Amino acid sequence: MTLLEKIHKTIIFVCELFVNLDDLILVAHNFIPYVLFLELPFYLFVIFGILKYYTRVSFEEPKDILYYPKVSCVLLCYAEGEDVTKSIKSLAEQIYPGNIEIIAVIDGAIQNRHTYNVIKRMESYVNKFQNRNLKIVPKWKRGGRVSSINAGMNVSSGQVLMILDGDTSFDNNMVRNGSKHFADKNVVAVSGNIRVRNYKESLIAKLQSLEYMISIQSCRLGLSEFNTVNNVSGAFGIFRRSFVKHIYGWDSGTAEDLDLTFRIKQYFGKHKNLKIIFEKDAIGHTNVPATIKDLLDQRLRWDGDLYWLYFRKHQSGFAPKLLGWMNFISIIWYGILFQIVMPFMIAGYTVYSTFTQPGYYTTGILVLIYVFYLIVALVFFLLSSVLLSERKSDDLKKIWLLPFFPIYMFLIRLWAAVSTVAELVLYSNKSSSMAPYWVLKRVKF
Amino acid sequence: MQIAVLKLANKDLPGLQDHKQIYITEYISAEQISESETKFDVIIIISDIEDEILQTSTFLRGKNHITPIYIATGLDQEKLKYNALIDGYYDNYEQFYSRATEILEIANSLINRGINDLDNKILEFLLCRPDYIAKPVKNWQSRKVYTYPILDVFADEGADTEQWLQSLHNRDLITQVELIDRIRECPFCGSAHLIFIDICPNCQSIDIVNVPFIHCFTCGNVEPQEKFISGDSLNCPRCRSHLRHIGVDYDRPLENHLCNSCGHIFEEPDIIANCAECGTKSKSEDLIVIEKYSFQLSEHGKVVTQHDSLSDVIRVLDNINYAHLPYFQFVTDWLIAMYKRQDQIDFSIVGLNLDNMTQLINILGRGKTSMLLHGFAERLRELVRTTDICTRSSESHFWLLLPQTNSKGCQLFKKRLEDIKVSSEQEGGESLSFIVESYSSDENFHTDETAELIMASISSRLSK
Repeated sequence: MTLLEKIHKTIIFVCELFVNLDDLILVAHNFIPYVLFLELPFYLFVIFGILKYYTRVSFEEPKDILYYPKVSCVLLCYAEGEDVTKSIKSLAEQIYPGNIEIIAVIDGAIQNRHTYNVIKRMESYVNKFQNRNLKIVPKWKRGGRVSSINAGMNVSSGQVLMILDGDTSFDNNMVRNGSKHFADKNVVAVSGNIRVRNYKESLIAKLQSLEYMISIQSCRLGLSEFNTVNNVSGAFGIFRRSFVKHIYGWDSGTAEDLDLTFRIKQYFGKHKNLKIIFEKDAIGHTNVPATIKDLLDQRLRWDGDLYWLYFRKHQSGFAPKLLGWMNFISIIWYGILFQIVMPFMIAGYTVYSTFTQPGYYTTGILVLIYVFYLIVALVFFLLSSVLLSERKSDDLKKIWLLPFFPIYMFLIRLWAAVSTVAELVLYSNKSSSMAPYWVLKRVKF
Repeated sequence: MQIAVLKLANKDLPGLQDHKQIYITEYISAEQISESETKFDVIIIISDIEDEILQTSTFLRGKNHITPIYIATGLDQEKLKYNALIDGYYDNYEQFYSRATEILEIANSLINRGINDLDNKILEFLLCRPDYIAKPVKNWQSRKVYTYPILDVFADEGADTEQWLQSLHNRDLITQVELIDRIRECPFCGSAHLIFIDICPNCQSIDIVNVPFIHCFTCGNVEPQEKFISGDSLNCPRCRSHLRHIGVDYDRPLENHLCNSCGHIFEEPDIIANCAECGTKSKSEDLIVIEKYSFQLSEHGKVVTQHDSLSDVIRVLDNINYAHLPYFQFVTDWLIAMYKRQDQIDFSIVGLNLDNMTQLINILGRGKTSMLLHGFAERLRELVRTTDICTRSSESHFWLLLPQTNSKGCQLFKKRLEDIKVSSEQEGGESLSFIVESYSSDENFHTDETAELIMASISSRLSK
């Protein structure tokens, strides 16, 4: 069969599906279970959340909260070099009448001397601003991300603690929007909204900017409405300092952000009023991997860490009594089924149908899946860019990327399965680049 | 060697008693040493109290400019303030003895003069200590901020050491070693205690503030930040775009100042200096810039001190239309040749013998004599026309060549010189005395006249 004939046959098959109901049921039989039981309810849940947010905000009388606590911004620096000045400048620039203490923690300041010197130079720049000061904490010996965060937390003095990446810069209203929620005593953490700063660099970066729009801006916002925010990002997390101090800060090991989110949620069962909020208007702009290799490396870490965290470290912590029912279900659903189990189902199903079904059938199914995800992506894209975005026209210009997006997500999901296997077999979190091996090998979890 | 020991603390001087040529007399106050009739070669102060050492060493140095002064103390030598006044610390005998004898040897070679004026004191002090460098020392209590401790010790109470130093340098007695600092002084009272303030260039108010400016990338608008702030965000007042991120939507191109008094916006404020002493406000460009150097005795200073020469004092005359002697004679010869061709072109030569310079220095001292001569030179300068030229053939012989001057004119000139002498006599007891002799072409011209012959004949009359 020539390629043309193959494509022809596939098209006919897909068209017939919609004409011949029996065939459609047959295909749906294979396709629907995971879509229906895993994905659709989740998507509807999130969309419902977004609409709830939108109506709430539209009808709510705008409150002028006069709450300006001292904010400590722990900037985690490693080898960012000149890029770090963007972050420090953007923090000094904040339109915020309260005090902002910028704490630049440099991990391994001996080998990262350049970054250290760049930060040292910024001292006078920051001092020119009222109510801003720059504290430099050089950790001469490298100790990993977590040690930097904890060191930063210990030298900080603000009521609100922000954990920020050295390669992330912020909109000038970030501190205002991020800290106002803490006026409510029950708020313990706020997840910031992350945008992609270097999206012009490559197609891979552009697709990630779309991914961040959909999975962070839309999904977290939807989840936040039900107090089930899945993660407070490590690149941009805002916390009530007294609370994280109370739970002894961050644990060493990888995926420290997800770990802390999980540990905070373990208080939700007992203290039902505690909240983690996603603030879409606290915006950070970060650099994402611009090449496929870097992206795969990053995801190998993230997705592997997910498995390690839920199945190895917090095995015993999965209890509705601790987490509350809402978060228990949400973590099982989104964290485990969606992010860990589903990649295997997709991979398994694709492999299974490739070997057992005729080529056109498999291809047809894939096209169907593609159309389904394209629609999902379009819905979320529109919700995100039209309802939620503060840079609407910029975001709408990215619509041409949508046709590539389902393929990108499909490949990312397959890779997630590979990452989980790698963690399962190789304990790859012990060789993470986030901390030196001599730290990771001692991690007891 | 006669040593006076000022014993203000109980401390031994190791090795000093073991030597036969050393005669020690102990005292318990600095005044006793200066009142003693014995001429001591060396003074050693033993004390462990910093203020006490400072006080006694200042007192003794003021009275003894040549005598080596040593200190034996348990205090940290590096940190002490009076190192400029003393010759060293008594640590061991050998070091002490060799250094002290070096100073005394030079001191013994000095010609004993009738008067020890300020110039002599400092010059002899420096001559005896060839490697001594007088450094300016910061002292906030001094109105000039910097002082030279060794000059302060020798100077009279309330005297302007700055001027004295300048005079020594002008006479080439001391030479600059290193530029230490540059200070600015109030042009009104000379105090170096100035307060610098930035002020509005329009209304001179000090109530000015820094105003940050913002540059909107969207429309290129540049305006003060406050015009952009609306509530919790920055919005361009011109294009209405929302500025969210520094470096992406906007930046800060410059920083300007705003005067709260008159509303003037400006980039660079004016700087004025407010004198802490007299309160005069001066522009920074009007301040007097003083460069503070460290000094040491110059080669000329060494010669002057050793041989008691007049050259530094007389040098002040060399500023008046001065020509070297051979040039002076060359011009004179040319005038003689001219006169031979055209006898209307007259000329005169006036010779002066300043015959009491040495006596003056012995009576008044080098500094005052120099000032006296300076006064004479100033008046002489008024007398001399731009076409006249002057020279000196020895320390006391001063010459003037007056072209286009006949005997009549020359007589008038001589009369005016006499007037200067008379008026300077009235000023004080001691005054400058000189003999004036002259030669005019229209009076006694010989055809085989040369400059040398004329000057020789005047010289012989001057020396009478």
